Amino acid sequence: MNFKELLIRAKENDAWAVNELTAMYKPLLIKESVVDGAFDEDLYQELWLTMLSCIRTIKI
Amino acid sequence: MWQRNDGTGESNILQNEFTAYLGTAIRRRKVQYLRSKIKLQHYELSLEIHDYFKGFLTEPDMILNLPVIEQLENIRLQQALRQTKSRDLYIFLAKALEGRSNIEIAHELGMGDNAVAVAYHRMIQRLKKVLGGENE
Repeated sequence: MNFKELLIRAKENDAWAVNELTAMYKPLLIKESVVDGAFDEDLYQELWLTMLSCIRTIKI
Repeated sequence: MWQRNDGTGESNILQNEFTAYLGTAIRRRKVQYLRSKIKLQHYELSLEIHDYFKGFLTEPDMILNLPVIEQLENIRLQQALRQTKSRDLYIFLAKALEGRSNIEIAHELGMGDNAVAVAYHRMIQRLKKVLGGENE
């Protein structure tokens, strides 16, 4: 399965596809959640929600 | 399972687009989050009277021994006391709470006793003005 199919399935709320996508982008979220050398869990949650909304809103 | 993305082909291009879209959204959200956090911290700090006074009060011991300001129930009086200069506040508290005389305070601060009397008087006037609405 390539990325396009995965994204389309994720947009249709397929749990497996969403899991795959979030696993792919988890390192990015973790990297951005580090503020002044400390991991900010609240920020991580916010970014996670942002990512879920991005999956929903992106136009293919 | 995943092959390296070389930017060719519809799927790879879509992936790059999604990554860019996500990156921008995440950075915006992060800036927003940090701003609101700083704002929150600002409000939280301004309620900590010890931190607030630390910067400009010449006698930190004095304020530590005086939880009085924190216990004041009148918010307007609290704010007025916080806004006064440290010297005036010192004079006011020394006179009103400890009952010391003008001359004693004047010696301690190295100023004339008339100046102390004037500063105290002005302080009282200002407090009256601030609190006037309630006492009338």
